[in-house]
Amino acid sequence: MSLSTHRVGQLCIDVVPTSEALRLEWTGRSNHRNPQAVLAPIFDAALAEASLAEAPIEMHFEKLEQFNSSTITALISFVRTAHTEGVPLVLVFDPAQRWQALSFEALKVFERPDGLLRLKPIEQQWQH
Amino acid sequence: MSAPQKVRPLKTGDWPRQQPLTPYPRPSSGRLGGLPQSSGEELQAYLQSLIHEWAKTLTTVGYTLIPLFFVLDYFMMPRELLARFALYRLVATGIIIGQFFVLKHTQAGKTSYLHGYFFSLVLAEMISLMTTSLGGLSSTYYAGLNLVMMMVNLMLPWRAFHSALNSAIIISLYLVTNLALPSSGPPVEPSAVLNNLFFLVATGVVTVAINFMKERLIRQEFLSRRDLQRARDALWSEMAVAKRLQTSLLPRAQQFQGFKVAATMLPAEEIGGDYYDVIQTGGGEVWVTIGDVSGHGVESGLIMMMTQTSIFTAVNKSRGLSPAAVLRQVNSVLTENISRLGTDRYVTVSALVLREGQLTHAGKHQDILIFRADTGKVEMVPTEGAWLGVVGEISGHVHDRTVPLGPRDVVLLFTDGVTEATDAYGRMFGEEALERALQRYAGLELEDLVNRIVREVKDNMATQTDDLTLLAFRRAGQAFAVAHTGT
Repeated sequence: MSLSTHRVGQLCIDVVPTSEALRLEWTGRSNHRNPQAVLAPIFDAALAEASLAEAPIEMHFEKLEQFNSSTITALISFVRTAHTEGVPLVLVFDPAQRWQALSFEALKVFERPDGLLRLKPIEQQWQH
Repeated sequence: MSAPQKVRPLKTGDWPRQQPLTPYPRPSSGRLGGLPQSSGEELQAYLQSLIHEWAKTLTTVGYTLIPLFFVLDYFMMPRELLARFALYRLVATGIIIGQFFVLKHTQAGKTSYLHGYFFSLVLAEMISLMTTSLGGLSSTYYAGLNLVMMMVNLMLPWRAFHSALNSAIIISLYLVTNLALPSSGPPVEPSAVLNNLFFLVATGVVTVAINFMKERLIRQEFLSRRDLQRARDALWSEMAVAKRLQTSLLPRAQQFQGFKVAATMLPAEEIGGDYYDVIQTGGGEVWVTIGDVSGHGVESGLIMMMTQTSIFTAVNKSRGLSPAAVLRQVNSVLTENISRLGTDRYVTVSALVLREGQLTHAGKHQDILIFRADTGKVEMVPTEGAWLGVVGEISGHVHDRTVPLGPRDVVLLFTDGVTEATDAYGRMFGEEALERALQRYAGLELEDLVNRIVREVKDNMATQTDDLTLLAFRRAGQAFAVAHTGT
């Protein structure tokens, strides 16, 4: 059951707590002119909740139709913050969608041996 | 929608012309004390236009209220005076209507303020004539003069000096008329005269003071608005220069052995970050690069220019560099500069070096599409690696890949503005449609191929929100010019 739903234009983010992670499900399109401004409060709240519960954050993009380059910029910023705060982050994407493959494979530069960031193509998705 | 930018050799005259700088006006010691000369003239013209326009409102109020006050006459005045007062009001109304039409059919100018005096004279004389029939200087009908003073002095944005002079004229006219003409009605009472004059002078002083403050406010508002307009104009001018630089940096026509290239870039309304280049180095290498900076605006354009300059310098400085080595060098420069800028942009770039029978590429950008002439099919070559400007060290992520190129094979590079062009129903053009288009038009001359694809994309695009770049090249058996499309 969704804990909360955030709508920003055509983008919808459902925050669903599970027994294993705090799950953020992205749907629609993220084409806001300044996504950093609108996404930051959602990211901050998720980080705070995940820290409190000592749970990882799992972001699911596989149902997302499109996001613009500024959204990726906001996501990169979030990846850095999550790493700094020691919150494990899993980004689940659909490699069958070329734009998702292009975007998320480029984030491999942030994967570290500490395992705090994991990029999961949809085939390798954890079962819940 | 912008037309594709036709690229041609750059000449000195191609650079954005420097707008002649407007010298800041010299301070003036004139009556607008402290205001520069041209600002003073601009302010004068502004005030004249305001006075002219507001004088129309003043006369409209005048020819409405003058007859309307006859209602007061009807209830307050002796019956025998009504006809005379009606005549006064009729004549005054007619004159003010005439003044309104004069104002309507003339332009604002240096004499526009005279309308304020004329209006005051007409109404002050009408009221003064009325007071002569009501006991002269002690008549309570003098109160109308206060109204006239307030209407004219407060409504017209003229200088406090004019308010003072206008008040003096109204009071003088009232005194002269009542002293010169025989008065009828009740006898003159000195205390009433003193009372009337006291209130008239007080009204004059108050309106002058208010007018003085109002003039200062109008002046400040004018200067603030002018500064805002200048800042806006300067900003738009700089934006226009930045936008022109984006397309001015595109490669010039050149000859190089073995490949023919056609390219186009349709910049979005706002400055975007698309970039492509074709570089023939002094060492005889041929490089093709394409990229996109995240976000929009001047900052993205600036980072795009940094990328172009860094790559151009790197490939020309050292012969035999691999694309991955070039991107590693460029990445360190970009990461440092983006960090210094305090921003969080990144750049997607594919760098390709073309050699006989093969291309070597590196960098994470869009897929590379290759039409294979021998099979008639389109091959999609994924790009791998890292974006530039995100982390300082990308050595472990950026690697060279070499792809064979057959005779008449066509390579198509593009930015996301092409595949993400969206129609009115929210459907994106997509990479599959681009592959089909390449397959369909691969037999055409490269310029036609690019133009046809651009046309298909534009047909699928409701509004262009991102730069749109396409670059195609194919092997050729002889030297060809880099051709750039235009529609």
